[in-house]
This record gives sequence, structure tokens and C-alpha cells, in this order.
Amino acid sequence: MNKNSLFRKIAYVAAIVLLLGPLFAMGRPKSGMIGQLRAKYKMGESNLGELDPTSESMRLGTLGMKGIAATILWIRADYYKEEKYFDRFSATLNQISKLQPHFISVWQHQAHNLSYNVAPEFEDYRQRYEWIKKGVDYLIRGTKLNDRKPILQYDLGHYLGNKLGKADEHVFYRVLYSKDQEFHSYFRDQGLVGIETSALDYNQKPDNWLTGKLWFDQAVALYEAGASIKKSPHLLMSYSPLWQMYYGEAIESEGILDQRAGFAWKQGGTEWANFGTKSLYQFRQVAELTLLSRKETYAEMETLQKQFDELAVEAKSKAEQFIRKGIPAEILKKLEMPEADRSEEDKSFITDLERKLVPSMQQIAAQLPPSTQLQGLEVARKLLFLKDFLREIESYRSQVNYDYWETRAQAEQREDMLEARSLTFQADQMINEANVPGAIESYEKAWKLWYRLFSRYPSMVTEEVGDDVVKSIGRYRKLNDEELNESFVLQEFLEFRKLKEEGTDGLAIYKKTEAMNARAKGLLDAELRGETIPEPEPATPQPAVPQADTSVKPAEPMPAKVEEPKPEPAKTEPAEVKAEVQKEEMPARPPTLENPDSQS
Amino acid sequence: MRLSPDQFWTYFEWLFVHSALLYGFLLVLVLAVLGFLIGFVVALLKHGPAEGFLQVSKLIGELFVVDIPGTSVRRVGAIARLAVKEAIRKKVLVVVAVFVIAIMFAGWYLDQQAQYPARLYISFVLTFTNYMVLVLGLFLSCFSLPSDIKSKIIYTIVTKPVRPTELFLGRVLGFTAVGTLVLLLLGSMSYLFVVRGVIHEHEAIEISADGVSGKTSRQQFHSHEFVLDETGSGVTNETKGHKHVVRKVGDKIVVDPSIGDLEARVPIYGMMRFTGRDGQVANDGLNVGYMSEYHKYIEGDSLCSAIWTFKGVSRDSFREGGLTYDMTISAFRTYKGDIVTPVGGEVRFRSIDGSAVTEPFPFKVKEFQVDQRSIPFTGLKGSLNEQPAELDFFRDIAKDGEFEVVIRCQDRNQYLGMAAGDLYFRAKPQAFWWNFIKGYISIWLQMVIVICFGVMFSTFLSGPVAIIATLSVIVLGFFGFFVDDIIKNADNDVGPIASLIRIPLQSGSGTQLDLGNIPLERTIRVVDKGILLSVQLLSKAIPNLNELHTADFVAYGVNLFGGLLSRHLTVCAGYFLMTGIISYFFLKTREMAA
Repeated sequence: MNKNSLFRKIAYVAAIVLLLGPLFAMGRPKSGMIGQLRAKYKMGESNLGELDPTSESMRLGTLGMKGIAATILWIRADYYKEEKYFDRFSATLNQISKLQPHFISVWQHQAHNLSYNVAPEFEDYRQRYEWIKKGVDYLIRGTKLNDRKPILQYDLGHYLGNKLGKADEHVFYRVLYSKDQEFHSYFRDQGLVGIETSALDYNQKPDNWLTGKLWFDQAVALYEAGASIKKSPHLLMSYSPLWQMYYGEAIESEGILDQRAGFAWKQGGTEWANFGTKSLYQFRQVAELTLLSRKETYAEMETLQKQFDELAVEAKSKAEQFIRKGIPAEILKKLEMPEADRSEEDKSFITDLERKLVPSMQQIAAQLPPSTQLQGLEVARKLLFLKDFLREIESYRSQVNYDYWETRAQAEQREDMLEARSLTFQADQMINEANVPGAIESYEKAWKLWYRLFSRYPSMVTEEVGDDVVKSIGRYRKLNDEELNESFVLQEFLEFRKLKEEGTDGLAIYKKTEAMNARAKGLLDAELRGETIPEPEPATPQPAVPQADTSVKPAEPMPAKVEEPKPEPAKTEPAEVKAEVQKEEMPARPPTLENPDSQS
Repeated sequence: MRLSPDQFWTYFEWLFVHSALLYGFLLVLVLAVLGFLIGFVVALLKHGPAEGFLQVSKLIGELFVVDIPGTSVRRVGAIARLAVKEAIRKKVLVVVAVFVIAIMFAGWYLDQQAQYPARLYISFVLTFTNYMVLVLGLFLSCFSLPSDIKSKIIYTIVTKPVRPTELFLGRVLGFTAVGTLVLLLLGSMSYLFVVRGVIHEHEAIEISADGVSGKTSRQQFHSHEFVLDETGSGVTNETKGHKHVVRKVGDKIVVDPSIGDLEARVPIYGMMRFTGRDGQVANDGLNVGYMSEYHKYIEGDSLCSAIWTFKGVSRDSFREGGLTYDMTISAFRTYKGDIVTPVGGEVRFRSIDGSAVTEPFPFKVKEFQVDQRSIPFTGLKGSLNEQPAELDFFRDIAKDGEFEVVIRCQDRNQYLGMAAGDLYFRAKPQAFWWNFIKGYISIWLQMVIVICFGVMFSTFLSGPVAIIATLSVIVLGFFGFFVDDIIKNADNDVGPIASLIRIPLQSGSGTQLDLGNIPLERTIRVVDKGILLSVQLLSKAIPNLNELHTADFVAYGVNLFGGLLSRHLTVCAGYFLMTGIISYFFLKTREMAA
């Protein structure tokens, strides 16, 4: 009995010693396996962010029940929010963040709750502002505890810009923010470098858009230093220059319509161009994708296409014949069927067949003589790669609306643009002062300038600038107390906007877009030649929309050059587009309003 | 702070008008019958029907004839003294040390930049003390008797002429005395913590050139703005839930200590009803789509109104100078409109018969703030019997202390939201410290109930089991509403057995249980309903500790109504009696010294 007991005890001790071995090997603070893994993946508490003794002690205090405690607090927070116990809600959020300091969604979700859900519950905009600040403060505390999570800085950029600068109360929020020295000092104390230099507005006080921009810069810097963020890099990087331009827009709306606004836009344009040169990623591990690589890619494609066309003069017809051989004669006969006799099914079949009969570049290259075949295949491969690359660039550009902002930044720096805005602003002010004749006069001067600007930069017609002008036109119409007739100088643009909004007459939109692009190109050329662009004449009466496309020309006070626009830069399938236009059919991809002097 | 109309009832209204006495009597009757039946069944099994009935009757008779009359205060005192000594021996004062540590580091956890710091501090100390004291009561009461029985110390007691009633009373009183002492210590420290945390001083800075307006220095994350009147005095704007009186003393401007954060307003509440868009009495106000249905809404620029009826209001209740009333009305906008100007409304005061009505007093909503307003007692413009007249409030409007207050929303398509407690008249305030003590009395009552249950369970259960049983009482006492919620959804197969089956099946609670076997599903449903019903009955018999938790009154600066406190005292006395009687029978029938 005693012997058995002794053996048992020895076995226990041996087992303990045996188990202690691997435990020791794994658990040593630095050289242990767990320690090494922690160091490798930077998972140590000190790697994640600042160490918070309160948070640590609170988590220890839950005695392993952190999950349960956090769940109870979340439920309680929801209840407090639902029942509008907002002070308690805010206090509970603090406790949650102590329990889950490295759970990023806590910071994001609850900051959003504070700034976007709780703030609007308050009737007084000053209280709303205070609650927006609480959300911002919550995010900032999150950044301290999570050094490598740029998404929090990204959110901060949005809150400072969007929430303070775009909400219905933005006029008041911007003033409150500008005067909120305590908040500015808080930002400075939290390490927002530049709040007292780079974020200053024309009054030498921090501006919400420029402060937001600084937070975006921090997010980009963290991302570029290797921190991960669940955002596409082009979106992340676009916000800093965008916020600069929104700053320009904001001060313009506040009546700053001189070189200060022009400078803000110039700065925005420069930053936007810099953003265009930033490498977003390596396309197929081969080519650095930047938004401005479009121009070079077009040029390269043009050269390669020329090379290929030269190589494949005969091979193309051979390839066509080769394809035809592979298709039964009775099927090919269908191509000869008169169009009038074709049923819907036939039409679809024939369209497919025609597509099949067009040889791909590889098929053409396969028909090249052996001496040039390898070269042909290589050129074809490069061309296909570049097509995909270009598609990717275009996709990225459209996601950030690159062309529009590039155009806008250029246009907003112009003196005539500032003058147009200034006249519109003055007219709006005069309405407030009940100076109706003055307001009408000012508006009418402004419309002429807007006409010139929209002609020169047609892409602005359907975007925010166009929206602003339409609002002003609404005010002007009320002053005149009558509907605008067709001789109104901006009637053409109003009709185009209407067409776009309705979106039903694709062909009319297409034709109008083409015409506007051509006119803009003509104006650019005229500008480059140093010619003065004539003032617009009141338009002659035009037929109603949608026949507007037929009457574009009479209304255009264009130089002769406009009649024969220069060909567009070589695109992938220019010939097809022309053919489509000639047939007066809808193109596969309708053109967009362009910026003729785009650098990209 | 949310108040339900039942909290406004006076003690006698609760007792007689709302039938608390009747329900109490019925409850006693049901429990007595149930207890007798259970006792009889047990005795029947032990001794047969005749002898069993005799035994039970004898036991009941002894309680009323022998043990209650024979209960000696001296012996109860002696047992209570023993209980106190035992508790001190068990180092209960550790609780005080834990509390001290907790409030030392409270600043780490509490948001010092909170909008209403006083509320936060008071809520914290009261809630924390509450939990601490309940845990203390739990441990003190549950282990004492079982450990005495286990260590056979009980022999030395029960062999003496000590009655079961004395045993129960002595234990409960002893533990309550210890708990009270601890509570006193915690209460004093809490009071100091709150006062120290809230009290602060400002200095007047940034004074304007004319010396009549300015800003105070920044203290505790805030500053105030002020404007002085021609007499050289004024009040700052409200920030962080308080204001300061500002006075000009010689050349200096002095900022007095804060007012409004540590207070005990004495509200006079009324009952509320609504009228709809057609001006007729409506069942309820409108719901604007919020999940919470606490606030009901009235539409602007329509005949919708909220009407409060006040009773028993006399001039003596108010300070000289006027009738003060507070509003916490909220707004709901269907369109943003004018962002700067808050949604507006109007208040009218009128007699019950409608013969005297004041002119409307317009107001702009101050959401989530107490909008303090006042009207003079006399010289009120309005109409009397449809003729323009100057009204005297207590002569023309509140003739017998009864009158109505009507609120309307002025802005078209905007809404005002309110509950019964959102408009009240503010009588002369009570001292904050006294309200604070009343808050602690509520905690004390909860502690007594827990001790009673603990001692009761320990008369027939072992220590650990008694702990679990008493803990269940506390948990059900605080989360009884959760049981009610589950029972309300019982049709959705959310009972314990169905839930257990759902886990491995990964089936959500929003769907019916589908096992492909209808008889089995029905059986599960029936069994689940039985279990839920038992739990519901049990939860009803258990004290609602949430109701006894009155920290909000103190935190929000509302005087804890005497009627409410008396009700809680009565409820506590009821549980004391119930647990006492149950303990008596267990002590009497248990053969401890055999």
C-alpha cells in the first residue's frame, strides 16, 4: 500500500517535471517559443500601443471573465443609448474600451455612435458639436493604444472633415471648431504635428478640413511604414488632397473669393497631381500602378499597336480565313442573310458569329511567318498586358473621380472662376439685403462667366459646381418671378443636366457630350494661341429637349477651330467608336465629359 | 432619470387606493395555506394523518402562544452580540478596505470629463456600495448557522432555553448591526468622495471692458460665462450640471461655490394625459419611431397637447416670489428647418373646470437639461370666465390645490416629447446630505432582505448551498425582468430545454423548433412552459431589488419621496416576517441537537 503510494507520488512528480520542460521552453519571456512568436508578429502589449495600467488592472480584475464583462457592458451601452441616458452611455463606452483596448471595432463603432448617432439627438447644435468631439476624442484614445492601426487616423480624418464640414450644421460647426482652442491644444498634445502650422486657415486659425487632412497624412504615413489597413491604398491616399480642395470649397462658400481661395485650390491641385504619381501597387508584380501612368501607357500601346499592325498585314487575313475554315459552311451562310429577314434569335447568333470571326492578336501572331512569329507573339502579349493595365488604371481613376478633381482644381484657380463665384456670392448677399436689382445684375454678369467656364470645363456641369450654379439659378428665377426662357445664357447646360438626370435618351446625351468635349478642346486651343474667348451671345430659341442635340451648333459662340476638333488621343478602339457614331447608334461605352488640358 | 407614475403615489395611496394592503393580505393567506399544506404533507408521511395534523397544528400554535410571546429581548440581544463578534472575527472590515481602494482609484475608471460629473460620482458610489454590502450580507448570513451546526457549537445554544424565534431574530439583528456599521463607514467615505470630487472654485477672468460680463477660469475641464446685473450680481451659464453665483465685491468679482449639482429637488408631480390632433382626449401621445416608448410625442401647430393634473399643491410648498417648475421636454424634428432656433412650445396653466386660463408662456426646448422656469403667484395675464383678467394662481387657477398644465408644440411638423415626470413643480428643496442618507437607507433595506434570506436558507441548507440560494435571490431580484422577457417570448420555443437543443442544431431563437417529431416538440414545449412558469412564480416571490435601488434619485438630485421609502420599508418588513416564519418552522422541526 505504502509502496504503491510512493510510486504514485514519484510518477506524479515525474509527470510534473516532464510537463514543466515544454512549458519552460515555450514560456520563457524572450527566448521562449511563445515570446519569439510574439516578437515576430509584434503581438506584445507594448508593441500594440501605449500601456494603460487602468486597462490592464481592469482586465485582470475580471478574473478571466473579460468576455462576459464586455458583453454585459455592450448590452448596457445599447440600453443606455436606446433610452437616451447619454452620459451613462459615454461612461460605459469608456469602460468597454478599457476591457477591449485592442479591439479596433470597439473604437470605430462606438466613436461613430457618439459622433453620428448620439450627437444628432440633441436639439442645440452646440451640444451636438460637443458630442461629435466626444467621438473624436474616443478615436484619439484608440490611436494611443493601437499604434499600428491607421484606420483610426483615417476615421479621424473623416470625422473632422465630413462631420464638421459637410453636416447641415457645417457653417456653425466650422466656426465652433475654429474657435475651439482647447480642442486644438488637445490635438497638439495628442501628437498631431502641424495643427498650429499646416492646418491654419486664412484667419490663422485651425480649419477642420485641414486638420482632417493632417490625420489622413498620419494614416498614410503609417500605411507606408508597413501598418495594414482595410482600405484600398488609392482611396486612403486620395483623401488628403481632397480635403485640401474641400477646404478651398469651404472658404469660397464663406465668401473668401480671392487669391487665398485660388491658392487653396492650387495647393489641392498640386497634391492631387502628387497623389497621381504615387505607386499604388505592383500590377501583376511587374508594373507600378500610378494614376498618372495612363498617358505613358497609351503612348506605349500606340507604338506597340503600330509594330503589330506592320507585322500582321497579311497574317490578319490569314487568321480570318483560318477561323472561317473551322466553322461549317451552313453556319457561315447565315452571315449572308438579309438584315430584314433576320429574327431576334438570328441577330443574336450573327452578332456572336461576327465576334468569333475577328481574330485575336494571338491568332494573328500564329499566322505570322516563323521568322517574325516570336516577335509578333511578344508584341501581342505586351499589348494585352497593357490593355489590362490600362483598364485597371481607369478603374482606379474612376473610383476616386480623378479627372473631375483634376479639372476642378485647375478651373478653381482661374481668375474668371473666382470672379464668377464672387459675383454669385455677392448676388446671394444682395438678396439678403433686399437689393433685388443689384442681385439680378450681379447674377447676370455671373451667368456669362459661368457659361465660359462650363464651355471650357464641361465636366463641371453635372458635378458639385453645376449643382451650386443651379441653386443660384433657382434664386435668380425667384427674383425675376418668371420661368427662364430659352434665351437664358445657361439654358444649354440646364438642358444637358436635365437630360443626364432623366438618363433616358442615351443618344442625345452621347452627342451632346461629344459636342461639349469638342468645344472645350477648341477653347483650349484658342487659349493656347492667346486668343480672347468671346462673351456668349444670348442663345437663339432652341427646340425643347430631347431635340436639343440638333441645335447645339447655333448656340455655340465657338472659334472656327471647334468645327474641326483635333482627334482624341489614341484609344484602344477608336475606329469602332467612329463607326458607331456614323451609324447613329449608341456606343458601347458612352463618352464622359473631359478636361481638354488634363495632364494625365 | 426615468420615473413611472406609480412612484408618485403617496404611501397611503399605495396601501389603500392601489390595494397593496389587500395584495399583501392575500399573499400572506396563500403562503400560510401553502406552508400549512406542505408541512402537513411532510408530517403525514412521518406520523400518519391524525398525528401529522396534530403535530402541524401544535407547531403553529406554539409559534403564536409560546414562542412569540416568550421571545426575550435579552436573549435576542445576546445572540445578536455573538453574531457581531463572529462577524468581526471573520474580518468583515476587509470590505471597507476594498471600498477604500476602489474609490482611491475610481478616478481611473470614471470619466472626469463627463457632462454631469456629480451624477456619475453619486451613481458610482451608491451602486458600488450597494453591491459590496449585498455581498457582505450574503457571506455573513449564509455561513453562520451551518458552520455552528457543523462544528456542533449549536449544541451549546439549543440546549439552552433559546427559542427559534430568538435564534432567527438574534442572527438577523446581529448581522444587520454589522452591515449597518459597515454601511455607515462606506456612506461617510462616499459622501466625502462625492463632495470632494464635485466642489471646485473658479476665478473671474476675461472680464469685459465694462466689467459686467466675463468668463471664469477653467477648473475640472470646464469654465463658465457670466453677466452681472445692475446690482453687481449674476449667475453663470450652466455647465457640467451646475452654475455659480457671481458677485461684485468692491473692485473684485467673486465666484461662489457651485449650485445645482449636489441638490435634492422636491418635485411635485402630476398625472399626465394627451389630446390628439382633433383636440379630443387620446389614449396616448404619438410614437415617432424610437425603440424606447418612455417619451410620447405631440405634434406641432395642431390640437395635440399634453395635460398634467396636479393635486394638493399649496402656496406654502413654494419659496416666496413665485411658482417654480422644471421641464425636461425633448424634441423630434421631421425636417431640420432652422438649425439655430430650437423647437418651440407653450405652457398654459388652467383651473380644473377651465374657467381660468393663463396666457401661453412660450419656451424653446432645452433637450437633456432641466429647464428651470417660474411664474409669479399673482398678476398672471389670462382669462377668467372667458373675459381677460389678471389672475391669482392660488385664488383663480389652483382653487383647492388642483389645476392643470397644458403643453403644446408651436412648430408645424415638429414634435415635442414628454413623460409624466418631465414637468414638475419644484417645492422648497431638501438638503442633499439627507437625500444621500435616504439613498443609503434603500441600500440598507436591500441588505436586510438579503440577510433575512441568507439566514432563512441557512436554517435548512449547508453553507455553500445557502450561498447559491441567496445569490439566486439577488440575481433574480436584479434581473427578474429578464425572466419576464423570456416568458413573454415563450411561444417562440425559447425555454431552457429548447435552447439546449438549439445550441448543437445551431438554430436561431427566432424560428420554431423543428425536430421533425411533433410529439417530441410538443413535450419539450410543455415541459419548458412548466419550468418557465415555476421560475416566473419564484421570481414574483423574490424581492424586486431593482425597485429598491434608488441611486438615480440621489444622482439626479431628486428628493427620494417619503412615500416611496415607506413602501420599501413595508416591503422589507414583509420579507422579514416571511423569512422569519419559514426559518422558525425549519428550526423547530430540524433535529439539530439530536
